[in-house]
Amino acid sequence: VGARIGGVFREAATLAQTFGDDRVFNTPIQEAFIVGSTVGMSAVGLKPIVEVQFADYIWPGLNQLFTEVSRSCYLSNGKWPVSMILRVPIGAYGSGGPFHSSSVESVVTNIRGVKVAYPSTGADLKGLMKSAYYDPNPVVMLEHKGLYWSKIKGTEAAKTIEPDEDYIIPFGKGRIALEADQEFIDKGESILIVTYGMGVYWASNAAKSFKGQVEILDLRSLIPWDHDLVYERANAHGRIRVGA
Amino acid sequence: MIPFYWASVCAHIIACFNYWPKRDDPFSGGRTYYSHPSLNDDDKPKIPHQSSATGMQAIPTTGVAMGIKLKEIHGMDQVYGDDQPVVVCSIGDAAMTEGEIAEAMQMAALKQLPIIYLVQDNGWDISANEEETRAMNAAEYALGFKKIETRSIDGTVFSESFNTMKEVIDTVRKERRPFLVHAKVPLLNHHTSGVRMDMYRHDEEEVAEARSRDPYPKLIQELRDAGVSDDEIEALENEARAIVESDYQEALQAEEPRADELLDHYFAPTPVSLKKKECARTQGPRENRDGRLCAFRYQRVDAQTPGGIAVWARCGCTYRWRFPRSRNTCANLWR
Repeated sequence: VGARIGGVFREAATLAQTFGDDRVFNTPIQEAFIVGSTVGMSAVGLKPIVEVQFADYIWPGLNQLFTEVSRSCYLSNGKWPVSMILRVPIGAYGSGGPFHSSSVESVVTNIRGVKVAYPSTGADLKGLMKSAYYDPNPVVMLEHKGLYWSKIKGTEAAKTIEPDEDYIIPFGKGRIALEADQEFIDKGESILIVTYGMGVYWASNAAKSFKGQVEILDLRSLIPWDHDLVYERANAHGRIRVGA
Repeated sequence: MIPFYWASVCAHIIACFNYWPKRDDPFSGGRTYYSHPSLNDDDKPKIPHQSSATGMQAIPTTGVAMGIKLKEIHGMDQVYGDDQPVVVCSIGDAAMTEGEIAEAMQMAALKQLPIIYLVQDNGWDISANEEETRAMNAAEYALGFKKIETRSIDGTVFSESFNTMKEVIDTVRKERRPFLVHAKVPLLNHHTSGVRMDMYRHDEEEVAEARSRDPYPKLIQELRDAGVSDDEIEALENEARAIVESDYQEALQAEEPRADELLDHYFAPTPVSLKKKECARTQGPRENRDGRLCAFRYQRVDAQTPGGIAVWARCGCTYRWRFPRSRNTCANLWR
């Protein structure tokens, strides 16, 4: 994320130029330190935002995420919540091979004590990042690599106008990315697809073949997730598919 | 701010409450194993939480030192004069073989962090000894890290331990750079409540060797040498026994953790919330299709922005957006 390159996906480009090399800096390649040092930085009142450059390399840091970061608040009886954000470029695009393409959300969402967001648009990324910043708990921000710069065809909608400075999305609030026609819903010929991240675009593109019959619910955050909205829309359709 | 320490500063009462998980245990409210201190009191050294996994405290503790250093760089720290904060990472000799130790010490050396790795070397991990598990001691290992200065001491001698730590702490307070103190100590009892003391020693000779290095008789001798009378020493011992006995009885009587509090503190409450009464979602999504705006009011309240912020954003049931400072173009472009 340092000034020269700004991250392998340029996801921190211009940050170091704006805020200086003492606030935006590279570490050695040591994922355990990247993740685990946030426990200490948070303890002295800082808000560390750190990144592992591919989801595949969250594993060398998983020990710290699981053993120290996620447990600190509960096992200290609420005295030491760890306020940190872990940015993780995730998912497959192009030809990354088996160790540059992984999806890790099935593991990360099962760690009690960690919140997990997975935005599907630039605007949601901003809104969720701000929520993560003000949250006193650890947040893993999963960012699909194919959505950076809308690199994959069919993901143009991920590119949005930047919302203003007050824009913020609380965790656990989904959005309806595509509505179905009431006519189809009434006839029982519609379906609800619950998805997130890149799944929103897979579903949107597939929905073109079933015009008006598909409603797409974008969860936006996986822990916590929007039970209310999912149940409400599932009841309306009586048919649901979960896509990841 | 009080300097940060990772070292244990258990008072007897704390030890007692933590040994028998009780609701008033100041470390965890009865949630964790004994000898796992964490404290965040204004009038004491801070002790962040640490797990049982050996060596895993090195990185979080080094993170504390990095945080302090960053605050100093950015002028976010208070002015302490010569009394700058110091971080102590307490660690055992066997934990020093963990890979994460290298990551922590790499950063301490690279960034010249104000941290002291205090290694208590009793020659044993939970079930294996130093001959089986390592090629060098902690001070020798630290030689691989440029600009981490080391001290090796006999940790059973109080005056040597105290004076060395004082010198090192004073130096780190002034010079803001990392140290490792390697203290040789005996394994007097057992590693943990699950392992018996005699499992570590096979004959009388080994027991006698460990006992010969017991720091307590040495401390008594040092006190005598310093002119403290046997009567005074005995009075101190009796006082200590009385405190432990009274704390022990108090801990036994203390309230157990409550079942209905089991799920508390998985997360700290976030200031980002929404006021549901402002949302029209209960009417269902279709009501809003023709452009009637449905909004959650999201509020944040923190010290930097008194009164918080109010944000109008899209709720789950409508396509439309509205922002506090209107950007009318957004409504369509964001669909």
